[in-house]
Amino acid sequence: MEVDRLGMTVLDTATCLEVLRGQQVGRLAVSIRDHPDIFPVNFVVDRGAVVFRTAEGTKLAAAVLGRGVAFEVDGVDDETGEAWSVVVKGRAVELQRLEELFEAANLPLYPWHAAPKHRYVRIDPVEITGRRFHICDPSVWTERQ
Amino acid sequence: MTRDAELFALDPATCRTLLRTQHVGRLVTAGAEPRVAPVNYVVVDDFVAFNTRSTEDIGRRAGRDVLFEVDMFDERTRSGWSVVVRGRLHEAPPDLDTDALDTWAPGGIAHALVIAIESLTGRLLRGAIDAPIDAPSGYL
Repeated sequence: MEVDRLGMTVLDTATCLEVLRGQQVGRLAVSIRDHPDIFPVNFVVDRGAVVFRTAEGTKLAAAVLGRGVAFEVDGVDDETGEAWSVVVKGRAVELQRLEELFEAANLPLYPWHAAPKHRYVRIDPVEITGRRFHICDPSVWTERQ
Repeated sequence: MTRDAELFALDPATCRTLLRTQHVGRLVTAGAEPRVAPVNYVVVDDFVAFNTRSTEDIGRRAGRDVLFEVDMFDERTRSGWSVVVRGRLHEAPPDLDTDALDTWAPGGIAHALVIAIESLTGRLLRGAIDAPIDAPSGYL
């Protein structure tokens, strides 16, 4: 796989999606009138898109629906000593067609919080980027600086 | 035994304590489109300090209101917490003790930036206890 100018491995789209599928919680970042906000959500990947549930009238629903969002997951693989992150950019749209809702209802998506969450939101990716790198020994930095 | 999930608001002092328990957070900047990137950080006085290597980012982001998020979730108990810092992004003050500041990421000389903490908010989710589908059994 490709390496960027900082020496990080660039993850291709298929690898990014595989990484996303291995996670349950991600963070949804939005920009509302130039103010940033972020919401941790539990999610699933369905046919290449990120899907999560929300309830009517919530801050989350108001903040994300119809907007361009950035969805992030990150983590560390303790076995390989590698850190990784994936960011999905796209528009958050509410599923409305009946067949979409029926399909979404079959997704293994169980909200962690028990408040009723009747709406399904889907982020169809415009761009998916991911990076992976070996965690540097802190001494690398002091030596270089 | 079953129990519904419950959401608690965290006071700023608790948020600050939790902020100091982690070393990876996510920097969110707004604009035409939101941007989010994970960074290693430390808390020094009233600042969240981190390194960046993107000089382009420094020019574009300095002086702006940003958000910084730290969290921890447990998939088995479906519980976790999230703390959000809001504040303005600055170059690190020259007298700031950034000795503890390193970064996992490879690539060249880094530049220290800080977020001057203006507000701290946080939530804690205590997960539901459902029917114990996958609970270990037969040991007692």
